[in-house]
Amino acid sequence: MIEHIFNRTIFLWAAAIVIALFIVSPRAALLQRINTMHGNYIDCVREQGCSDTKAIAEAREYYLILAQLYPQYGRGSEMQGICYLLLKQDNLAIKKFQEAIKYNPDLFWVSFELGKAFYRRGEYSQALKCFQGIMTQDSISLLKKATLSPLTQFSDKTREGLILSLVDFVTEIKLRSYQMAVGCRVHQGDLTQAKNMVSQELNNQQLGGNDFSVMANSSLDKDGPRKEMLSWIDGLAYSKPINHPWGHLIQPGREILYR
Amino acid sequence: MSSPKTFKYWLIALLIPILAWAYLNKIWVGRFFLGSDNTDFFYFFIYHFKNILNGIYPLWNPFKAWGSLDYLDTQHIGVCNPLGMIIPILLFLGVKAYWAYASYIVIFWMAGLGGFFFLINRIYNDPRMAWVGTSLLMFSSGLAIFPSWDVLGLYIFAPLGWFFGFLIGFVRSSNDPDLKKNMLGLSFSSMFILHLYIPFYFATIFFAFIASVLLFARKWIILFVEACAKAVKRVPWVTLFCLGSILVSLWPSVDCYLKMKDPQNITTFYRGENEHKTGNPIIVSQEMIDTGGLPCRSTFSQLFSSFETGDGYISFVPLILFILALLTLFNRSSRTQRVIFMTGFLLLLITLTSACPLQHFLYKYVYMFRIFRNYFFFWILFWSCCVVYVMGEIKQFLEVGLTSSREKIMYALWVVLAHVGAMVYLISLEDVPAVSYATVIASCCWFLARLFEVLRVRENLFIVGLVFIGLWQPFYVLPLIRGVDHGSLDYACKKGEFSYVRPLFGNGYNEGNSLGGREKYFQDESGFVKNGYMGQKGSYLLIQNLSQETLANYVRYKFILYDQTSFINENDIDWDRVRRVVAFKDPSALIGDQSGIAMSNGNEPSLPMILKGPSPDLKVIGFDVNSVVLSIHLDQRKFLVYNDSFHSGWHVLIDHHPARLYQANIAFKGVWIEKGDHLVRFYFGSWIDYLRGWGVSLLFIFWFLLVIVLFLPAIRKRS
Repeated sequence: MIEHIFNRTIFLWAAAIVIALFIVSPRAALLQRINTMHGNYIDCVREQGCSDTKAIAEAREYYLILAQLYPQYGRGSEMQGICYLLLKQDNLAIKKFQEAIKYNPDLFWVSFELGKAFYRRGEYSQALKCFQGIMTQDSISLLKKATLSPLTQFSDKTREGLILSLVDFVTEIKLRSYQMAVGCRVHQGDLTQAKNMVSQELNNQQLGGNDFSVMANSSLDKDGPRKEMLSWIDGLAYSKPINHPWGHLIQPGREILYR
Repeated sequence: MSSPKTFKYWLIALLIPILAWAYLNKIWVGRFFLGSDNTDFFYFFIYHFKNILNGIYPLWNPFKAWGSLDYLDTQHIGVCNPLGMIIPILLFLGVKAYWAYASYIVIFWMAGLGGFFFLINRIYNDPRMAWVGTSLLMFSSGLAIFPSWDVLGLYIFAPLGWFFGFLIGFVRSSNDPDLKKNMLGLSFSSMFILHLYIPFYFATIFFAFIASVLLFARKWIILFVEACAKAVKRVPWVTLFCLGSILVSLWPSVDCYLKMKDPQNITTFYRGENEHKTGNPIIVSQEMIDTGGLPCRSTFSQLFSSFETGDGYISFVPLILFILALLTLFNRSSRTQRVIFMTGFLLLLITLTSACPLQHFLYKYVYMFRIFRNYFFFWILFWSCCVVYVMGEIKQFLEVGLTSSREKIMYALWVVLAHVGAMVYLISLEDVPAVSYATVIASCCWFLARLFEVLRVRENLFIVGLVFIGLWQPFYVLPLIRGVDHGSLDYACKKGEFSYVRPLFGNGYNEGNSLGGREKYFQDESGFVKNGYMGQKGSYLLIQNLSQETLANYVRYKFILYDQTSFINENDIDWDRVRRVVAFKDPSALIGDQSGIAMSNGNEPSLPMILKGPSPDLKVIGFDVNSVVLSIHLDQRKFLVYNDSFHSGWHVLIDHHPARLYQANIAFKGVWIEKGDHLVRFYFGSWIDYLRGWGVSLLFIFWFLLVIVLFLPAIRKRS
C-alpha cells in the first residue's frame, strides 16, 4: 500500500514536506539559533566605525532572525539596515528601514537614517519627508516613543541615566533632522523654504539649533558660504548612524527585553 | 549507461576532484590547519606512537597531571585502528609529528570518500554515478574544508560507506566466496565503528535505516537473515572468527568504561556525580543537546546565501545537488530510493533537536539519546544520504529513453521549469553570489544541449561536464565560509614532539605552544588542569585543596627520602598537615595504611631529603612511561616517595623482589627501602593490559591486510 502511494518521487517529497511542516516548529528552531549566537559581532555593529565585514554579516544574520521572530517591534529590520549601511549597501538599508517603520512607526530614529540614505542618493523630497516627520513631533512624544521598555524595571539611578541618555538622543535626532531638512531644501533650489525653516527655528528655538540657524541665516543668501554650509550638511549625511542608546538591551537570548 | 567494467577508471578519475580539492585548500603552499578536537587527538597520537616506536605500549602518562592513567578519555580508544599506523611509519621516516598526523587525517578522509564511492557503486552498480556523488560530497562542507575537519566527524563518516556497501554485498551474495568476502568486509567495518568510540551516531543512522526498511522494504530483513543463516551454515569458522574479532574490537571501549567507573580515577563519571550533581553522570541535558543541534548552527537559507555567516562545518552543499533533486521529482521511485530518502529524512528530523518532537521523544524514551550531544555531526551523514539518493534519481533520469519529439519537448519544458524554479528561489533570497545563478543557467543549458544533441557529447563527457558546472559554486563559496581563509589562521607548525628527556627532573614533554590555546593540557607540571581534569583522584584532591604555588614547588622534585611515615585518615584529611608536608616542613611522609607506619631509627627524625639531581646515592638507570628503574644507596632504612601519581596498577620491585607500594602524601607513590645498595623498579600494568593494547592493534592490522588481500584482486578482475 505504502509503496504504491510513493511510487513517484514527488509524492515522497510532498509527504516529507507535509510531515515536516506539521511537526517541525520553525520558531523553536530560530529561537535555538539565536540563543546560541555570540554577542561579539553585535557589539561590533553597535560600536561606531565597525569595519569587520564578517562581524557585520553575522550581526545581520542575528537581526534577521530577530526580525523573523518579532517583526512587529521593527528593531530587527532596523538593525539589519544598520548592518547594510556599514556594508555600504544603501539600497538594501533603505529597504530594511522602510520595513522597520512599516512594522513600528514609532521608530523615528530609523526615519532619520532612512532620510540620510535618501539624501545620499539625491532623493531630497523623500529625505525631506522623513526629516520633517521628525521635526514636527514634539520632544515629549519622541521621548515616549524612544522609551522601549517600561522603566519601572530599573533602579532609580539606572532609570535616571537612561532617561538622560534618551533626552540627548532625541535632541540630537531632532537637531540633525532640522539641519538635513535645510540641506534638502537648498539642494532642491528652494531657498525661500529653507530660509523660512531657519527663521522659524530662530523665532521658536524648538530644535536646539540656534548656532546653526544663525550661521544658516547669514549664509543662505551668499553663494560661497552657502556652498560651504551645504558641504557641511552633506557631511552629516555620511556620518555614522545614531544608535539608540539602549541598543545593548538587544542581546542574544534577551531579545524581548525591550518589549 | 556506464559499464561496471569502467570501475577502475572512474576510481582513478577521483584524483581529479581530489587535486581540485587540494588546490582549494592551498595544500600546495603547505598551509593547512587542524583545529577543534584534532588538538587533543594530535597530542595523544604522537605521544602514543612515539612510545610505540620506542617499543613501549603506553599505559601511564607520567607527564600529564603528575602521572595519569592512559585511555581514560573516550577519545583515546580508537588509537588501535590500522589507518593510524601511518603515523609511526612516517615518524620513523623522519616526518615531523604535525605532518604525520595530518597525513593520517587525510588518509582517513580518503578512506571515507573511498567508502562512499564503494557504497554508491554497490547500490546502483554504476561507477560513473559513484564518481559524481563522491566528487560533489567532497566539496560539501564538513568534508570540503580542512579547518573543519573535525576528526570526530571523519571517524563517524569514514566507516559508514564501507559498512553499508558490504552489508548490501552480504545480502546480495549468491555464492560462497562472495558471501565470505562480504562478511569479512562487514565485520571489519563493524570493528572500525565499534572501536572508534562513537557508535552512537552509527547506531542512530542504523536505526533510521532499519525503520525505513521496515516501512518500505521488509523483505530485505528476511534476505539478511537468510544470508546470516547461509554464512553460519557454509562458513561457520569464518563466522565465528568475525564475531570474535568484533567482540575483541570492543575491548578498549569496555576497558575505558571500567576505568571511568573506577573511583580512583577522575573522569566525567566522577565529576558528574560529585560536582555537577546530575544524578547520572553521563546524561546530557536537553539544553546541551540543543546547542549542538542543527538549528543552532545554520538556517535553511544559509545553504544558498549569506555564506560568510554560515557554519564552516555544515552549511554548504553544492547547488547542483538541489537542481538535480528538483529535476528528478517526477521519477518513478524505487524501493531502494525510498529507503535512502526515509533514512535521510529521519536523520534530518533528529538533527533538528528541540525544533522537532522526534528527537524529544527519543531523548525521553531511548536511553542512548541522552548520552551524546553534537547532533550536527549527523549533518555529514544526512548529506551523504542525500547525495546517494540524488545519484540514484539522476541515473534514472538520464536513462529515460525519449523517442518522439513531443516527449523531448515535454522533457525540455520540465528541465527549464525546474531551473526557473531554482532561479526564482535564489532571487527571493538575499546575498546570493552571482556564481549560483551562473550554475543554474549553465546546468539548464547543459541538460538542454544533451537533450537536443547540440554538442553531440558522449554520455560520460556530459557527466564530467555536469560535475564541472557543479563545482564552480563551491570553488567560489567555500573560501567565503569561515575558516577557509588561511590568512586568518595562525599556522604555527606545531612543536608537539614527545621525547624522553626527563628521567629525573625538568620537563619531559616539550610542547612549546600547542594548538588552540590548550597548552596546559599536557605538560609535566600541569597538575593544575581544573576544567576537564582527567587523572588520578589523589592529585585532584591536592589541586582542589592546596595552593598552586606550593604544589608546583613540591612536584618539581621527583624523589624524596623520609625517615618516618605518619598515618593520615584518607576520609578525613588534615589539610594543614598536608600543607606542611608538601612545603617540606614536616619530617614524615603521610600514608593511609597503618601497616606502613614506621621510623628509620630511634633518633629524632630529620626533615625530608630532596634528591635534586643525579648523585652516587641515586641514579635513574631506566625510564619509560610505564616504568622507572633506580639504583640507590642508603646509609639507613628510608621511605622513598616518588612524586608520580599513585594507582593500584603500579608495582615496585626491590632487587627483583616485590615490595609493598604505599599511597604517600595523598597522591603519590612511596616504598620502604632497607639500608645498602638496591635496584628499585617501579612499573605499571599487567600482561592483560599489554595484551589488550598490542593484541587489538595487531588484530586490526591483520584484518586490514586480510581485507586488502581479498579485495584488491577483485578490483583488478572487474577492470
